[in-house]
Amino acid sequence: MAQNLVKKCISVAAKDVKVNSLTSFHTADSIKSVIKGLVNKNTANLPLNGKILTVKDNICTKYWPTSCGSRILNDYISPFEATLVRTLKENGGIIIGKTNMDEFAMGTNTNNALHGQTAFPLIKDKSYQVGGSSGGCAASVAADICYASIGTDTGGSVRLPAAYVGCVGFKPSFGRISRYGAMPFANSMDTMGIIAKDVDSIITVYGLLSHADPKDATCLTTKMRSKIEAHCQKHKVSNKPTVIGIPTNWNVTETDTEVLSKWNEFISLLKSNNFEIKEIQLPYSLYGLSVYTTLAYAEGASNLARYNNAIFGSDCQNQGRSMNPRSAFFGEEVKKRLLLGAYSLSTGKKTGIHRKAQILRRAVQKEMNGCFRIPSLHAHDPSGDIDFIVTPSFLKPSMPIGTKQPYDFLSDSMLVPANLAGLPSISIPFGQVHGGLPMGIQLIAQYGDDNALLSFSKCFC
Amino acid sequence: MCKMKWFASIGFEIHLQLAASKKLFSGAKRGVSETPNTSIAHFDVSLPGSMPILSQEALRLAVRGALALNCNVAPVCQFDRKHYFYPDLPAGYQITQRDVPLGRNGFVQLSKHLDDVDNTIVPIQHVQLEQDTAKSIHVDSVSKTLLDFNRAGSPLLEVVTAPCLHDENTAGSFLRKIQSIMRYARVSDAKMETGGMRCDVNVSIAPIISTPSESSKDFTVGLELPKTELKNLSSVRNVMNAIRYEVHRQISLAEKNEIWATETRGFDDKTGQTFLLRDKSISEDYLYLPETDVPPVTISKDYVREIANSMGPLPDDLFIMLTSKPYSMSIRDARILLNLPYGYDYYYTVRKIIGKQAGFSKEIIDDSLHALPTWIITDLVGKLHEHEKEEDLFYVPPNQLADIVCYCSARKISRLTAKALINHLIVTPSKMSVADIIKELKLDFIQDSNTLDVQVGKILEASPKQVREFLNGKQSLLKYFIGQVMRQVRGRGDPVEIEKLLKQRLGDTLKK
Repeated sequence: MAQNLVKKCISVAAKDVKVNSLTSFHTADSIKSVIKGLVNKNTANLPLNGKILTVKDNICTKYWPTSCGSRILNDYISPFEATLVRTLKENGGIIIGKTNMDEFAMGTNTNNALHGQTAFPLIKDKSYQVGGSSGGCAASVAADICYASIGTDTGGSVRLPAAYVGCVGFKPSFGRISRYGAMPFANSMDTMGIIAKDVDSIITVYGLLSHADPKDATCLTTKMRSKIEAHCQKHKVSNKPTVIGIPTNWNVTETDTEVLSKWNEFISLLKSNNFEIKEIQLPYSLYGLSVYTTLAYAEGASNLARYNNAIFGSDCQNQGRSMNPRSAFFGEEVKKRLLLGAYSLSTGKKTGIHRKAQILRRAVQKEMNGCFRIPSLHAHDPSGDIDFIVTPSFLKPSMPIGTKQPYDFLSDSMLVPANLAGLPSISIPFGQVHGGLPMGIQLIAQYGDDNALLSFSKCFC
Repeated sequence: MCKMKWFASIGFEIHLQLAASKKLFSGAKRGVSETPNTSIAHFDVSLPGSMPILSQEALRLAVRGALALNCNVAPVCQFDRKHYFYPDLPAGYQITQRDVPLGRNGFVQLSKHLDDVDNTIVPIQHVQLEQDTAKSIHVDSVSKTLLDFNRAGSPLLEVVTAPCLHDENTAGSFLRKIQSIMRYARVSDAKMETGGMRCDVNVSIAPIISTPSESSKDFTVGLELPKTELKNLSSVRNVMNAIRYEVHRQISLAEKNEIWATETRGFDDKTGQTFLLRDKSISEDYLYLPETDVPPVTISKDYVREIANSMGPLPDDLFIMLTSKPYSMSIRDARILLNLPYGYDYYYTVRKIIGKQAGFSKEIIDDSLHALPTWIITDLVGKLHEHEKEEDLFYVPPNQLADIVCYCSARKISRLTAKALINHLIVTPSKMSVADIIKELKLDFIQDSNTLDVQVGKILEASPKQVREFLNGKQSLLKYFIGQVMRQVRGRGDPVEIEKLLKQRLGDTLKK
């Protein structure tokens, strides 16, 4: 078994040459010692039984550096590991490396000064964008480097890259998987997500990672999980057909025509499988990106404030240059978002845009609650009769590396509302557009209805 | 020309270190280690990926503190991030409470009897729970700042008042009352000298426009002039002196028609003057953001009730208790005792020990209990002052004081000896029992009447003039003779016995 894994390592290295999904990689020798340890523990009975995994480079590991794709953390080795890393190891998983990302999870390109660009040969060996910020996760799965990969989804960062490369990307309900050890971008939106080739693999990994953690106060306790489960069960109607909601007002002018056709194709598929289709209106969600920009960037600015203390940025002092480490080491996108975040917070707590964005966020949650059959456990909002919402995962599919389009910043617009309301959402591959580019369909369920969402997704993938 | 009168307004932001065993969010131990940077968790140095978990112990202490200040405890409270850059703040933000603090609308009662100021109720605007920063130590020789993170993340209770105090004496009494309340509530040791309590003081003046007349006691006050924030004050005395100086400084500037900007100033206790720390004309924007990693904290009525019921007596209650039966202390004694740090605790402990003393009659025990306040307030405290020790009654352990008081009441040792013992124990603490110390130092009363009688005879022989005056009617000289004999026997004489012997001899002389 050890020999097989060594072989696997060599093939991984070969596969990753063009893709550049991994930022750090086990050497053959260290893999051997890991396997030796596992063999002694008889992992044959463990759920993951030696499956190869990767984790995003903003998830703390004790063996490799956790750099968040940033030069300011380029050699930072965390003294503690994330709860999910420990869980994966305890269940027989083998983490083979950390994956590339946008710096501090801020972006949709998976390109940074520290580790470069991650790309994927989608059509005719040409390098295509993997999306972001968990682009390395998606690429490592798509390139058959690993069985599954764990990333973070703050505004679509797991679902978008999964959709771009034709894999499944799952963002559970907020609080399902512990965030302890995941370096935060926006604490109120960050969700640990899973990318794999098929829904079964997602279900396996999710089943292991979705548990209480006393180290994370926002991670659902066992008691809460039982309560949520009972609540969801109570509102299931078994003899009636599953009702699908289609937010037609999300069909904006920027939607690619072939993406729109695929959306319709999926709706026809649902109809032919006896699912009931209903048109719904979700107008506030169209403001999702603006709300996200205002709120997430503010939280991001707050979380990055620590990279000014004596522990980080010492390189600047060592080299005798008296340069602010933040100016020297942060990339342009990060600096832009820090400024916007500070601006959003500084325009006055009572009347500024931050407050307005918080109110709009609540409005998005309320309109989502208004369409789902299962009433919200958080707020006394009226409910509806929808089981799942179906939309495309993006407005436009992946593009060749280097292409820039005026509506690039809209790429997350379909995915963001699920982050604002903390809802579980999954992107499943659904054929191709433009002669070979993967198409992704997004399915959204009510908060806490993760298992039903996964079962439903299984029908199609 | 009519001189303008001024009305000063003083407000406080008081930071109290909670007597918790662990820090507020990180689980690291608090207040145990002297060696720098030995009591820190990942969260205390803001290692990315670490997360805050609210300490239930700190919450309990904070709620108790809020109740001790008569606040309304919020049914739900939450935490916010306050951002600014400073080396002692590793995260670049402090987790505090701004929008929904732990408690609001409390008050502190000050009374003439207990607090030595006119009866006042000082309103408390709110109290909030927050993190303490690391300690920065500036090294003079090099332009370096050393950081000790042992303190980083420790729980603080911040107590905020409006500018509702108007003179430094009331302000000083208010601070002392807060210290006393927090000590008896077991929330904080509130010791300014060791950082247990830190004060920021706001001082401003406003002109008095109209003066009180016969018809109205109130006066009207004009527009408030720019306020000054005073920081880094190391004792209550310094706070009072700083306030006094600052008010005068502002008044003299105002009377010269000079203006000034809002400032932060420090106080130099050697010169007795305040000095500029930094310009505060541009108010800092802290970019407050909710701390969503700590979910809102629900505080049930039952929880609050349980804490209220388990709280021990507070100074105002204790004052009433001590000045009533069975303690029946004088107002003065009760006030002084309660204002000593942990004064009531000490008194109560000694009382209990005396009450359990075997081998003494009920009268002696009652006498000891009755004399105890004076022993503590006058003799023990007096000796502490004399030796320039801090006012820590526990310099003389309760069981030793109990013995001293009882032996004295039982006339096994003289008052002089008792005082000498107290003195001895302060200077040279000893674990020996008082009985053993007395034996070792040969301090017990000379039991042999003959020896005493010899001394009495000697004194009378040496003072013929006084004897004549006494026999002519100057009865007060008896005390003089007793004192002289006591000096001779170095306090080891029972004055009652000496008096008896004197009267015998003098009576004999009379007869002669």
